[in-house]
Amino acid sequence: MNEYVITVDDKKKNITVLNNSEIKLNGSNINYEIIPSGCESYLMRLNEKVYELTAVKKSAESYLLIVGGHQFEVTVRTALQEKAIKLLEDAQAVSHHLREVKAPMPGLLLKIKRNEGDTISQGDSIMILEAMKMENDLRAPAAGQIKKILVKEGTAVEKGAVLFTIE
Amino acid sequence: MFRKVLIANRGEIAVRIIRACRELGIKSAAIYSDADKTALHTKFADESYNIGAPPSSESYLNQKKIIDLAKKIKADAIHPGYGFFAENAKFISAVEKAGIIFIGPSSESVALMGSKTAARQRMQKHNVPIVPGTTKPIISAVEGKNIGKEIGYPILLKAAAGGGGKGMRKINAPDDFESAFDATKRESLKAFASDEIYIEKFIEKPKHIEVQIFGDKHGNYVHLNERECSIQRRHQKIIEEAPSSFVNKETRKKITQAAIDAAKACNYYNAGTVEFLMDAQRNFFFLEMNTRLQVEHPVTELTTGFDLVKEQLSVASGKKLSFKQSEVKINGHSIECRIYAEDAENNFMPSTGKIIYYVAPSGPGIRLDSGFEIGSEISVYYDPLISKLVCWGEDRTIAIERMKRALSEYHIAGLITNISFLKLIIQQKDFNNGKFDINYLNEDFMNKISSLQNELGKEKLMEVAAIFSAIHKSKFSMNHVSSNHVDNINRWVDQLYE
Repeated sequence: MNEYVITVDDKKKNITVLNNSEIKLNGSNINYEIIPSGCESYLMRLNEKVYELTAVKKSAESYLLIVGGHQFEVTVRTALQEKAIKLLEDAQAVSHHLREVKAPMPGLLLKIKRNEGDTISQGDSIMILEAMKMENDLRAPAAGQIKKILVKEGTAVEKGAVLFTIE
Repeated sequence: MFRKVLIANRGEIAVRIIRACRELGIKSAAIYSDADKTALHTKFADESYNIGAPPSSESYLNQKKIIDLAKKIKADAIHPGYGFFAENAKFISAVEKAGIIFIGPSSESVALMGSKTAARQRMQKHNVPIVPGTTKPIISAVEGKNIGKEIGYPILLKAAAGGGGKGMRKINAPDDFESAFDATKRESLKAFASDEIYIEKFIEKPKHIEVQIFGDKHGNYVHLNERECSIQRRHQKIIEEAPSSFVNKETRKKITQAAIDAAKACNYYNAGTVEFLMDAQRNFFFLEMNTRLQVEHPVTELTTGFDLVKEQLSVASGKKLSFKQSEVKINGHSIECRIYAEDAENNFMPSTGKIIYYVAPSGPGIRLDSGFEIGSEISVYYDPLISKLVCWGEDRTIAIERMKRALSEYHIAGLITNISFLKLIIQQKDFNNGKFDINYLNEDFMNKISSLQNELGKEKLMEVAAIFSAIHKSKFSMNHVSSNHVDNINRWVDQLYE
C-alpha cells in the first residue's frame, strides 16, 4: 500500500499516494504533478497552485525541504514502518535514557558554564560557542543531569560534535 | 578620476563597489580569501587576488598584504567598504603613507569618531546633543558601578571602539555589573582590538534615526535626509527604511542640521552617517558617527536618486560634490531587508553551507544587492549576510506590499535564511503603522515567532512538504517494481541501496 506517515518538524501527517496524479490527505483528493528543475529542486503543482521546493537528502528516510522561505526536516515512512518504529521506541523509553547534545555549527567553545553531575533545567545555558564573531548561547534541550562533558574550553569544535550528554 | 581601485572587502559590498567602478570606467581589483573562491565579488572584478587563509586576520584584515598588493598592481585608491578596515585610522594612515588614496574620510576624522568617548566630548563641545553618560573610558568595575549608581539604571556598557552592536551590553541592576563588564571587555578586545568601554544611560523605547551626510575636500557639506533603522535584533539592524515615518518636517530640519554640525566638527569628508536615538517626544541624542558607507545606503539612493558609491569615488579623487543641498529631495519610500544565513526559530544560530539553489526576486521597484549565488559557500569565518533586498514605492504602504511580494519570490536553499522571519515582521500591524522602537524584536516577540508563523501559513507549507515527500517515496517504490529506469529524480532513488 502507498500509505505514508510523514513527520514534518515533529508533526505527523498521513498521506496516501493513489496514483501518478492523485494523493489523499485528510479525506480529500488532491491532483498533483512534479517537475524537476535541477539542483535538487522541483516544481510541484497541487490542484491549481504551483510550489517551488528544494529537497536535500539527509539519510535513507529523512530530508531537508525548503519551501516558501521555510526549511523543514521531513521523515518519510510507510505506515508499516511507522508502526514498527513506534513499537521499538516504546520499548526503549522504558529503559534508561541518555541524550547527546551536539554542536549546531562549527565554532570556538568560549566558555563552559556547568560541570559534570550538575542538575539542569530545560533552557539552562550550558556553554557559549563563538561563531561568526557572535557569542551563541547553547542551552539544555531537556532537563536532567549532565552525565559527561566531552569538550574543553577554548577548543574548536566541528558541527555535529557531541558536546555533552544529559541523563 | 582613478585608473584602478582595490576593494579591501568581500561579499555584497565588494560587488556594489565593483559595479560602481565598472560604470565609471575604473578598473576594479578584488581580494578574496581561500573561503571566498566562490563569492560573487571574486568573479565580477576585473582582477582578483587571493589574499590568504580564511581567518580575517590572515586575509581581509592583513594590512601589510593588502597595501603591498595595492602597490604591486598599481592601484591608485583603496575602497574599504564597511567593516574590516573601513574605520581603522592606522590602516588609513598606512594607505596615505604608501601614496594611495583612501576612499573615505581622513585618518584624523576616523580616529576621532572611532573613539566613541572622544567623539562624545567633541559633540558636546559643538552643541550636538549626546546621550547622557561618561565621555571617558571606565577603568575598573568598581568605578563603573559608582557611575552607574549616579546615572541610574538601566545603563548600557559600550565599547569605545565599537559599532554595529558588537561589544555592547545592557545592565539592569548593579549586581549584574561585574560579569557584564568582563564580557563586554572581552568581546570588545576581540572585535575591535581595544578593551576600552564607557557608560551611557539607557534610553527607554527610542527609535534609531540616522542622517546620511556627504562632504568634499573643499569644505562643502550636504545631507541626504534620514533613515530609520529601529528594527534590530541584538542591536544588529535587520530592516531599514527612508524616510522615517516618525520624523516630521520640523524634526527633519533640526536633526539634519545637527548631523551637518557633527560632520563639520571633525572636518569630515566623503560619505558618513550620524546616528541618533530619538525618544517618543522626538528629542534626539547623538549616538555615534559611522565614518564609512553604511550597509543600508541603498534606501537613501532609491529615495534621493544619487549614487553614493560613485560620489565617494568622485569626492575621493578631489572633485567637489556633484550636487547641492537644494537638489536633494525625498522621492517616495524605500525599505531594505538584510538577508542573513541564520535560523530565526532556533535562537538565530548562523547557518553555513553551500547555496544549492537560488531564485532571486525581481520586477518593479526591486533592487537586490547580493554577494553570493548558486554554488557559493557561506562560511563560518565572516558575517552571515547573504544579500540586501531593497524596494522602492510611491509611499510606505506600497513599499511594504512590494517587499512582502519580493520576499515571497526569494528562494534560497542549502542553508537556513531569515527570509520567513523578515516576512513575518513586514506583515505585523505595528510595523505597518510605524509603531515600533529599537526594542520591538524583544523576547516577547521572539517567543511568539512560532505561533505567528503558523498564522501566516506555515502549516500549509508543512503540508506541501509532506505531500512532496510522500509522492517521492512512492515514486521510488513504483520504479523499483516496474523497471530499472532511472528517474529524473534519481537522488531519491539512492535510498534503495541504503
